[in-house]
Amino acid sequence: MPLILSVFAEARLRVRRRRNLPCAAWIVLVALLLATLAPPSSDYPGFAHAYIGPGAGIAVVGSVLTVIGTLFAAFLAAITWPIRWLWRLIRGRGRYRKAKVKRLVILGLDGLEPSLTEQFLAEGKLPNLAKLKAAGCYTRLGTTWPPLSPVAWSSFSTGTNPGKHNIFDFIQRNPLDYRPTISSVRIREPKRKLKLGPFLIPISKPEIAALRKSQPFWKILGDAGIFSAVLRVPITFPPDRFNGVQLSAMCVPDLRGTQGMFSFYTEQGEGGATMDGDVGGERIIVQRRGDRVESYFKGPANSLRTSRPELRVPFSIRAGRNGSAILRVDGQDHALEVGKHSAWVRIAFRAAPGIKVRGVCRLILKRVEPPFEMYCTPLQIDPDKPVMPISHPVVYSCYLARLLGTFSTLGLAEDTWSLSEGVISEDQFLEQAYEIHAEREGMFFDTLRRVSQGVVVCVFDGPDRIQHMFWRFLDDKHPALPPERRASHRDTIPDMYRRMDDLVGRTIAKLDDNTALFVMSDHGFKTFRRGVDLNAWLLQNGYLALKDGARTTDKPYLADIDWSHTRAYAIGLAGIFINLKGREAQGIVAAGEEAQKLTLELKAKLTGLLDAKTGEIGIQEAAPKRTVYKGPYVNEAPDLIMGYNVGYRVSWDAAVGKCGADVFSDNHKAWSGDHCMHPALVPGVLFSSLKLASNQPNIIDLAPTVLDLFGLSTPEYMDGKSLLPGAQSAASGGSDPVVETSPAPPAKPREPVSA
Amino acid sequence: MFATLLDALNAPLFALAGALMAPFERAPAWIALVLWSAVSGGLMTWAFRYTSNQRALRHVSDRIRANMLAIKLFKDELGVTFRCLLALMGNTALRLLHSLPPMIVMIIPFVLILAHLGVWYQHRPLRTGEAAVLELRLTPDAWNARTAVELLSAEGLKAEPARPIPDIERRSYSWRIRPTAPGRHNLRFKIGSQTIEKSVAAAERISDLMPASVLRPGGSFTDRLLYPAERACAPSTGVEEVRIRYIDAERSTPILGIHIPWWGTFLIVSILAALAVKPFVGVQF
Repeated sequence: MPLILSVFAEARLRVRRRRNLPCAAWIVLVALLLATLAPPSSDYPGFAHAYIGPGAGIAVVGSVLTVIGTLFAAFLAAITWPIRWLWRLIRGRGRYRKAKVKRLVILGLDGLEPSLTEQFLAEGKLPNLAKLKAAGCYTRLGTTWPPLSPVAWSSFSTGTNPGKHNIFDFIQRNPLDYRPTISSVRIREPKRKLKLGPFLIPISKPEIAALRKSQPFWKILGDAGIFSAVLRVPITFPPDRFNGVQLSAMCVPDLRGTQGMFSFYTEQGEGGATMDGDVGGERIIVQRRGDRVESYFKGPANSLRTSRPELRVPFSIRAGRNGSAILRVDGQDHALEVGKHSAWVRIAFRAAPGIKVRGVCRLILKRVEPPFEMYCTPLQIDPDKPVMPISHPVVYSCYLARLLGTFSTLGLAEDTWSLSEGVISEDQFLEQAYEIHAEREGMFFDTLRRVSQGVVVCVFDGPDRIQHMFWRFLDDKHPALPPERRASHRDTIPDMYRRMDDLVGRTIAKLDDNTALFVMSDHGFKTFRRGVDLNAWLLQNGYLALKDGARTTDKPYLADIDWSHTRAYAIGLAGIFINLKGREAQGIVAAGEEAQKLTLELKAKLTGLLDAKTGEIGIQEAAPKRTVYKGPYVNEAPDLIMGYNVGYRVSWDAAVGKCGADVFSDNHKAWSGDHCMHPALVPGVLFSSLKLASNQPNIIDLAPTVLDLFGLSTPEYMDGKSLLPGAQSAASGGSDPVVETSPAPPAKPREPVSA
Repeated sequence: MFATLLDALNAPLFALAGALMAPFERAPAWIALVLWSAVSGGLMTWAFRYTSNQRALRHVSDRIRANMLAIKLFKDELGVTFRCLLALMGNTALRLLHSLPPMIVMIIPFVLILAHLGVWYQHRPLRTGEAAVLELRLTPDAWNARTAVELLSAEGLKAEPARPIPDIERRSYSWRIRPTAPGRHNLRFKIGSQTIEKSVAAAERISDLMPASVLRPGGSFTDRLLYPAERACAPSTGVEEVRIRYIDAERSTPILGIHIPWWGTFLIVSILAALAVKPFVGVQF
């Protein structure tokens, strides 16, 4: 009875607050309720009156079913636990018998730079990392060549060099048409479709194939019965199948199949892409009708229709008070506040009767009054109803979405392009990055609560994205920022390091004595002041020719190359490809001696390439791929791998296969920090709660170390070696030096190239 | 006051129910039941959306689903399983708690809908020629005052005996009545110096859809709520109730040959209708 009364009291207060019902009305309600619950007349069904509407009916029926299911599940779990335990024991999967720790937590802080870390440690700004270092150890961590996240994290997970895991860059070029594709995944529509009038009904499955080869350590652990939770480790799309849970990260596309195209709604100018290719954003022109602005969310092409029309969901925005506005989409209203990120907005595109493609996005209303301006994040796969698997098992993303709310699913979730193009401000970008970071923290700490045995790996991308976009505020010589603006965000990167330290502190607080903790980064960070246009250099030195004898081209993806006179070309971040006969569709360089000679010639000319404007060496080292990699997939790598000096990186134009006028040019983009340099210049960091023995640890050593911690031997194919003290002495120290981790060799300056 | 209010509501609602049922008089009885159950389900769903804390319900529903999934995802962790089961119980209770405010708000319209549907579906009409017992109960005061009771007229009905049979224990007088023609007939009584009426529904076939009021209430609030077809007898008459009793009085409304109580049909159809309109209304139960 007291419970019923308190419920009445609460309900009364709530409804009263909302509708201000008079007291008498409440008396009527309660009287009616009591009357209804009173014993009915002999010939009237009392049960009928215990049912108060379908809403409550469903709640009651659902609750009863839940309670029954819960009790049944509890009973089942209790009685089957000893049987399952016995079964594992009999099958010899005494999984944790040989384990040196009960649980291992790996906290990946993408791009944490050792020089800054060490500086802040010395200044006492990172107390939790200092505590971890004191309890265990700290060391710089060698990285891969090129030191790019997809490459480095693939080496982290497989314990192999890129020649064995097949990831050499973000993109790879198709030698048959020279077009770039994502390096880690191949997505193809179903091969067989049935045409029914205007509809195309797929009768086979679409292909979503992983291109990363070799085995990640969580698969090996899973085969031995050890559970792993792998959160947002790059190059895990499509998700692996193993004993554990996984949420995919880098290379998860947006709903339109790109790696993240934002939309910018405006009343001015013309619509269309803001950049070449499937990156950047798209301007969409809105229509103003009275006090409302109307436009649409742009979805993917409808592959279920023969005409493949673009899927769209219309919306309207009505100005509210005090700079607020109401977005109306699909019959739902969403509040928008000028200058602030909105909550997640769910959008359902209707592809065919009964078939919806669901996405989520967030908006920043920039101006309601003319000229209207609004930013929309890339439309991301809805984790609660994913259009393609983004987790293992598929329901894991649903679980996270239900538990923590909708979250970013895009591979590169932080929208760096929109900041680079000035669509959002630095503060708005930071807000976005830290909200994504908070989502990730929620997942990570939930996983720590759930997983008491096994491995928990979680990668936080925030440090990488923030350093990419805010390094110019640390670098007084950076060309992307006038000196007077530097003070505004000079503290952003140090603040980010403090936040990461705080995360480490909160993580340590959740761990018991049987848990080991690694805090690591895949690479470091340096300034990116000058771009090196490799295609311009190749053209100026007679290795590359453009159609009609042109000296420059603005067309991306090598579209204007005269292949009949091109011996080498560059696309992507990693290096240069030889236009090889028999491999490339229009190759002219014979395989074997000619190709080898050309490679060595290019290496000799590019190593130590001098930037005349600054007097600095732009390229520390250019290395033939076979001197850097070994393994079955070496042929897929660029023929010459570039190791840029600090301050340099491949230029924006050359990365997308364009050819500019100058070899060296200033980087004026907000993307002002980078790590695509010589690996010796940008090592990562490794903090461990355990004492580690190696004096030159490399990222490929992590997988063998994890296996060793759980009592599993390192597979033969792995290039890394366990970093645990005992294993280290047995293996005579250090990893197979496939990847250079020693300081970069002094490069001889070559002939200067005018900027 | 509430009783007066109820009396004032019952008459127009009964007329409205009659108007809504009129198009279905010739159709099988279940059609109108299914239709109006579905409509009620839809309307109540809509009302549920605006009278409940949808955000809280959505949150609780998400937590329930997340905990169920966690049991599956982390099945090797016995601790997780039991923690999730506990959380499930807690969230289920919370869900019920959040369902209470809309239940309380909707109780008035819902009880009225059920009561008026009951007039049409709870009891069948009397068959022509079928015998039934008519009982008029008096209040203790009226009974002790030996108030005279007389059946004045019974058009379309045969009533016997002329002098009613008294029952001291029940403070009542009884007659046997038998309809002689189909239709809605009226019985007129004289109680002391006042007269009251009681309607009787009779039909050739018991499947005919017509309101069958087996009870005219007196002062009881519950009776006034559950038997809304006839206005309650005034307290000055000293009548507690006028009831008609007959064998197998409950109406059967089979659907596709399956016998389900009308309220069972109402419950199932209204829930199905609620689930059907849920995506359009955007409601969380």
